[in-house]
Amino acid sequence: MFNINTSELGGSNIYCQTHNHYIPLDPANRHYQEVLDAIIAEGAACFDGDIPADLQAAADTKKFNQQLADYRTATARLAQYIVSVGRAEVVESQATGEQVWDEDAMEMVDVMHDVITVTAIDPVEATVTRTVYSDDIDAEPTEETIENPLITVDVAERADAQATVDATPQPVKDAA
Amino acid sequence: MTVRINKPAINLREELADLRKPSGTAGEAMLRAETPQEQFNLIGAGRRNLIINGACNISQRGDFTTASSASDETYYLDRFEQNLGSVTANKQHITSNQPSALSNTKSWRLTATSTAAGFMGIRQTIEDYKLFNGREFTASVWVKTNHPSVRFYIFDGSTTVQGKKTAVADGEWHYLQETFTFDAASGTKFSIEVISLSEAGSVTSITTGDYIEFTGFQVELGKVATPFEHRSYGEELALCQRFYYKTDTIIHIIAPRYSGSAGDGNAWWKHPVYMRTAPAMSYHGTWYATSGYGGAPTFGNNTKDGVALTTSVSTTANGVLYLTGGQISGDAEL
Repeated sequence: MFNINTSELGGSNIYCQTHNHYIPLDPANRHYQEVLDAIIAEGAACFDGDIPADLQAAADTKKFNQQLADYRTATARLAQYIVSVGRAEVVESQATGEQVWDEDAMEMVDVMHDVITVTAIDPVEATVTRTVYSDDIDAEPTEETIENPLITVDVAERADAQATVDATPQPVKDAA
Repeated sequence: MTVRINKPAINLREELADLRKPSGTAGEAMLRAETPQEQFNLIGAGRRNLIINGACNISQRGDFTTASSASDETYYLDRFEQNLGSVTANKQHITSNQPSALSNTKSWRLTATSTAAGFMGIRQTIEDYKLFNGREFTASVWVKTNHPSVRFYIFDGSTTVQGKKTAVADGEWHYLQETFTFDAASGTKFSIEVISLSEAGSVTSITTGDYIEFTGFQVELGKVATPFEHRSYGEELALCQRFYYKTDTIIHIIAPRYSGSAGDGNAWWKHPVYMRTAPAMSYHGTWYATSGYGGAPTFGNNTKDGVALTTSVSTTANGVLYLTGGQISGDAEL
């Protein structure tokens, strides 16, 4: 629990009742950052009295920046190809830097060539077969077919990333 | 008039033989150096160790020579932060049986008290992180462990790098060193750990009783691990105090009341060194609050240089109180 401690001589700091810390209003101090984290996580419940407006604003800015970083990470993850689908090759026609005279158009024109800008990646196998050993050492091992673990991890990570995107407030998305 | 001068004869074969100096590769490199700066860098001369308290001698926060539970992301030994993931551990400051190559050192040990897939390590964050951006540097440390995957782990604010070398897990002291290069010039911090972690940077299997003990931790620019740089206790303490300090028992701080009115006494407390940032202040122990004494202090305006103290007992205008009996600490750790 925190409260604002104001000196008779002017100036104030944050008093942490839990740890008996007098925390300066200085963003470079790690305890100050912990106060902001507590305000983000618990809101007014972590403060004895009203949270000062400048402190609340600092917490809001920190939360915004955290959400922005998370959103950018999540969208970058979603932009990666789906391993169960693979990736198609992308070819672009690009100028070589050389130019030739076009008699029809009566002007110099670029010489173009095809460049593979994105290489193709085949989808991974949907399932894999693995050998399962029993606790009974006399029993014969059996085989079981399961979803390819690469797909399982990919699906889980994409789901997490999508959940992050869905939970991101629109102003944060707009700032990305 | 003609003057004839005779010079003593010399044996050219002997002169040429003298030019064949018995210098090795390092000696040849020194000879090839174009400038004194190059020679300086080759031998790693000067103030090399960027780790503070690498010899584990400074422990202002307390006496941890008896094993006790450690908390994650908490400082005990000066400048070193515990990093525990999914496991619990005991901490202990070890004062004997350090490596024979390192005299006048102590060591720090973490011992797992639970079994899990996790990590266990100790980290130092270096203030002047820009030193490492785009530079080659070498880390070295003495490690005693029984865990097979203890290595360096570095974080620059966005990129992590795991060491490829691991400490020998035979319960004896071994020297671990590795050279790293940070290509990116965009790091926003620099922390380095000695930690049980897989080469891929993920968790490893940790069992109750697994331990990591270290001392002689050194990080230096360049690709050569030079011998551990010993600094005097006083110098090392001052370096630590830039990030954290705790006083001995205060005999008395005089806290007068100004003439305008009765009320609390006030004083200006100067930190022992200029601190990294304005520190979070705390008081400890029992402060006298009987007549003439000011009770426990509260802290007001705070700078990197000092902090305003206020008594918790009032006095008359022009009265004087003593702040006596407790201790003061300031925390400006990274």
